[in-house]
Amino acid sequence: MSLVFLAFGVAFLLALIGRVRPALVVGLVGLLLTALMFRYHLTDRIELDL
Amino acid sequence: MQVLNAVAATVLYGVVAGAFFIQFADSELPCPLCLLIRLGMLGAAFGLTLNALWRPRPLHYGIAILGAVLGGAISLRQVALHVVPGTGSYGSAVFGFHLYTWAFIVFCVLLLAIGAVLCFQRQFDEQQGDPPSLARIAGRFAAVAGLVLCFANVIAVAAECDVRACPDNPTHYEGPLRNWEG
Repeated sequence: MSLVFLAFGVAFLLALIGRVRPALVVGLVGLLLTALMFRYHLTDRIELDL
Repeated sequence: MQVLNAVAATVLYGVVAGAFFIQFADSELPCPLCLLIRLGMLGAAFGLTLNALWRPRPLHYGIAILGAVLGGAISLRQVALHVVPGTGSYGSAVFGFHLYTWAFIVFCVLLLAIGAVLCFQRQFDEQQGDPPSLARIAGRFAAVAGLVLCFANVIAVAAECDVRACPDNPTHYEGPLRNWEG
């Protein structure tokens, strides 16, 4: 999961140095990875110890 | 409008920083869904930060909306996991609500705010020259804050989960901080 945070970090860095289009692409990839990880958790492969 | 976007992004960074503070101050390890909520919040803040750094664009608002909808769905999922009486909760409450409930409220308010701001067409009109200096400073501040938070989370998540998938109910750090007592 730290890789997704890293992707957003790279997106912020690219935006900061003026590379808007690559930043948009990396940010969208980050959102896509987040959605995929959420999809993984929706498959009930997590077990909560309640 | 750029300053407004920077302020909204900074509020979202404040929420993520608050969760980050609780993680270390109260030794409450974030669950996988909690981390996904942080990612949704950073995604929404990323779109707003692009608006603050550059001119507001519908594409930037689109990214913010995608992040807010995704984060809202994730936080609603976590609320649903604990909504049945007797199913307990995850983490401690802040001002009467748990962090995932606050996150859902924040995402809903953000979506309403973006919807309202999108009604102002003049922000999308082509403007010549550099943005005002206050907007430039606010945008850069928001971007640097997002950058710092992202890399701080990279380190924290790597310390919590190592390189494996994060545990469902984390009780201790599995990475380099495994001897951390909090």
